[in-house]
Amino acid sequence: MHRLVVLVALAAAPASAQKFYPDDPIPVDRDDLPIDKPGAIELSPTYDVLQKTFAPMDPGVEIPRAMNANTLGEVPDSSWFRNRIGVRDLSLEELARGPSGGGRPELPLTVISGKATGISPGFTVRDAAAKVYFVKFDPLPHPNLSTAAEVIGKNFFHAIGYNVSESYIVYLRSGDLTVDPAALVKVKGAREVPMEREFIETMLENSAHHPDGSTRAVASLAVEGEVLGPFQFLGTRPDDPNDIVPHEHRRELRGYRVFCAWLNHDDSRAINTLDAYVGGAGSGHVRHYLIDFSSTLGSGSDYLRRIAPQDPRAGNEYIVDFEPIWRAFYTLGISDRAWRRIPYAYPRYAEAGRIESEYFDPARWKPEYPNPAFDRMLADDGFWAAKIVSRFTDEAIRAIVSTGDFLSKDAERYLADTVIRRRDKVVAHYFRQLNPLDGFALGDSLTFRNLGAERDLGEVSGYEYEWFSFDNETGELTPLGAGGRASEARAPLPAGDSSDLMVRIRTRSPSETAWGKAVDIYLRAKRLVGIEREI
Amino acid sequence: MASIAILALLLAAGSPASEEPPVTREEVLRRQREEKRKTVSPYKPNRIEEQFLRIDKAENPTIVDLNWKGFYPRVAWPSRGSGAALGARYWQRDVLGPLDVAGAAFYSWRQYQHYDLQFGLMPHKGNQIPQRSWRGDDLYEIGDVRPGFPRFPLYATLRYRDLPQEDFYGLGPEASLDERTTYRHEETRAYMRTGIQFTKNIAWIVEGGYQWNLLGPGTASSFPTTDSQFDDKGAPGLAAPPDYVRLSTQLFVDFRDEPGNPHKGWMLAVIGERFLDRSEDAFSFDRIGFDARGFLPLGSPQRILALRAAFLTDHAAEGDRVPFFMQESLGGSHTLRGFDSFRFRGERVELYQIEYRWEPTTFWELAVFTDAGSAAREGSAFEGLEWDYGFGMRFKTYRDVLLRFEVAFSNETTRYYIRSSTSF
Repeated sequence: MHRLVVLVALAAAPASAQKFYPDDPIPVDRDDLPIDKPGAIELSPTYDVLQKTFAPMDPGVEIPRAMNANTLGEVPDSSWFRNRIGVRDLSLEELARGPSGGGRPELPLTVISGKATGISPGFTVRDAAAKVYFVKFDPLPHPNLSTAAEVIGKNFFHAIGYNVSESYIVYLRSGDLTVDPAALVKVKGAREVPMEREFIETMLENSAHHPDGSTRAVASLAVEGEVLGPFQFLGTRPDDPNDIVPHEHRRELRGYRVFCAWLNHDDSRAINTLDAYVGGAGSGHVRHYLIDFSSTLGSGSDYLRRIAPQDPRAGNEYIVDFEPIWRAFYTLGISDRAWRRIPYAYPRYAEAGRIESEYFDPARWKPEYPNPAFDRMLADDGFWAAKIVSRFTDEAIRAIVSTGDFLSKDAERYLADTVIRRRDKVVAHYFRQLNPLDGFALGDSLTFRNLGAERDLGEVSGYEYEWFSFDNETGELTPLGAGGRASEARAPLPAGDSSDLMVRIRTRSPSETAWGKAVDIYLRAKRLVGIEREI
Repeated sequence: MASIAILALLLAAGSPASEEPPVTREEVLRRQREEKRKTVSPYKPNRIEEQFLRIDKAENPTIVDLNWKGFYPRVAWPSRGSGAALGARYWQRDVLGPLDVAGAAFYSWRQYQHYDLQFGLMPHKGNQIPQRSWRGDDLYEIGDVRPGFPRFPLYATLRYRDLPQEDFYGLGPEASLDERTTYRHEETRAYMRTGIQFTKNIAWIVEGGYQWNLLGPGTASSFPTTDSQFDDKGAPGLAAPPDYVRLSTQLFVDFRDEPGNPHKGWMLAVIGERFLDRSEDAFSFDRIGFDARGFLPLGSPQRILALRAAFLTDHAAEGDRVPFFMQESLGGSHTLRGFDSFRFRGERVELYQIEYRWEPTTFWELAVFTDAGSAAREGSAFEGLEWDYGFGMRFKTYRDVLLRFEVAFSNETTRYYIRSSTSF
């Protein structure tokens, strides 16, 4: 299907393609054209693990650049992603509010279905305003662990730009819950059975309690529209005409790896995504969500798939990772995993779970199993994501972490400090993979910023630039004189009256060789229209 | 060829000569979407994914929980020497109030048969099918103590086994490999079990019931039958196998992290049994024994030293003897692995096992091991230890060993095993 889509795209390409169109760079990809409602999709988590593990991407295959970035290399707003902190400063209040739109559940809650299976047993409720929420609890031994991770993780990914549902930490008592007479509960190994009051009481009893005696839970508002099931990180949805870019080539899905590494979202797999059809029948479109952040930061699951502090393996090794397996095999087990020796602070800050920053390496971080989009992430995808990460100030991170509503301020502080240090590592790594120039502005000359130098990641001895004119129809470049060198982040404009210009800039750095890679900046009629980065 | 034709059609449809080239990026993308609109089709998982989806939707966490209406297909070794048996276990909880039903039916390629039915307040954890230790592999029937078990289990069991090719080499250390014979043992047991679970790790079990025994010529054509080579003196009980009233008590202390796949902790089982001959009152005896196992992580959970020591002794009543077919034996996949099943048999047995296990990953384990043990006649001292060594490989879930492959060497033979349970 993926190949077919590419062929269709090629077929539709115009005979006289232009390098830049008048509306480039597009800030919005209008992938919300009206379509008929696609069918619901169910994915097998087991098949997904096996297929991605045992049939991963061919390492020899040439990976194309991301296909949905605009000509500046940015991700336009779409049904997948809406630029938030990447394009403007968000107030601390906005960051802490996250996706919430005032939809906090109104008590009492009526339980309409239940789930006694999976990592997070819980139930579905309808509040007094008839809104539907999914309610999950912390297990008795781990108060606040997963509910905090769920809300904090969701707020981070919302600020980054992804679609997530609204979530609220709520404190419930038995009297706040009633059972709908038609409610069913799915019990492991059995069919759905009518829910009895005892199910609610047992779940409350077996969940972590707040000091005031209430039971803490996270209530996630059902997403708008009709649920269509998860999206995959490979190929396109065959029944969605708006979905024309193979998902593994979407920049926001490739760059998702950077965010997941930063926030230790090891469970970032297809099953934790959701498509929903929004709008009226025949006039709606598909919106793509990320769901379930309970396995982020220091929260995860144990070997029996129960909510627990994150497994030390998580983020460091796939569930099935052939290289360490083979090494342990032939050394009779003597070669052990380095991650086993990581001195986690857990359980000193128990609510924060098991997360650390000292041994964290963003390049080596791994999700639970290979993700096709992550595997295809290129340096420019990573740079795009790292720029967004770098926009989270210390204060912004602390504001978001505070939404976990921890009992222990020490745990909250520890978690925020850890996320801050992980941010610095992420940014440092990806800003060192290519020439990290950004913030181009045109005046008497072209000025720009070196994001790496601004963060003291390397020394800069100067910038080399060469000007060209370019033909927008053929893409042909014509040099405009000899190149120049500047000690400042500035390239003087060339003489002449050519309106279509390109300047190639390289940073000269004694410490960062990757900064010598070219960044090509395209100007049309003194307007910035394109950025191409050598990787 | 068909795909080329489709491609040609798509190309023709995508770039009609009369259509003007797009003038904006938005138009380029819109046209691509319009083209796809012509070819939309519903998502269809491939057949393999469909099958996995069915399994996933059954909400079963591991393969050992796969079942159809309470029937759990299994490959088992229901008795030493039985060979692999195909069959199923049955398990339904709370069929009558808190009372559960369990059952098993197995038939092995060596024509061994095992059927049992259990009913009552049985030890189990939630909906998980109870762990099961087949008599012959362990000293006790249910090798597990878990939180959530009923505090006072009480259940009845009816069991029938037909063991047509049981090996007998003679009793005590002098039993010779050349004297291998076979006999048929049909055993029927009806009994009640009850007990107390003191804590999540300690349980005390009491059992009482009746056991009928029938012996006959073994069906293995390669070896002589026991009755052709031994008389009632060399094989007590051969001429007139007794039936028993059996009383048993067991103390079970289990601090293993996962009984079916232990990585740390220890367990101790102590058993005391009285067998009262109801036929001619010539074969009554008492049995006491223990089985201790320890699991030590060697600096990492991927390296485990597993240790086992077991001892069992029978005391016949004054003037009575212990039937040969009731005596404990060594040899086979759980004891002296380098020797044939039932190779050493006696009123007293001792067993020591050491394994170094290492896990390249959580579901794949390798092991090197050595076993030592001996069997002696009542009143005789143990004479030296028979020993073996070997290596093996296991595929596991977090809770159970699914498949165990082992090769064991001794001064007598080399044995190969494929089993579906942990070695100990």
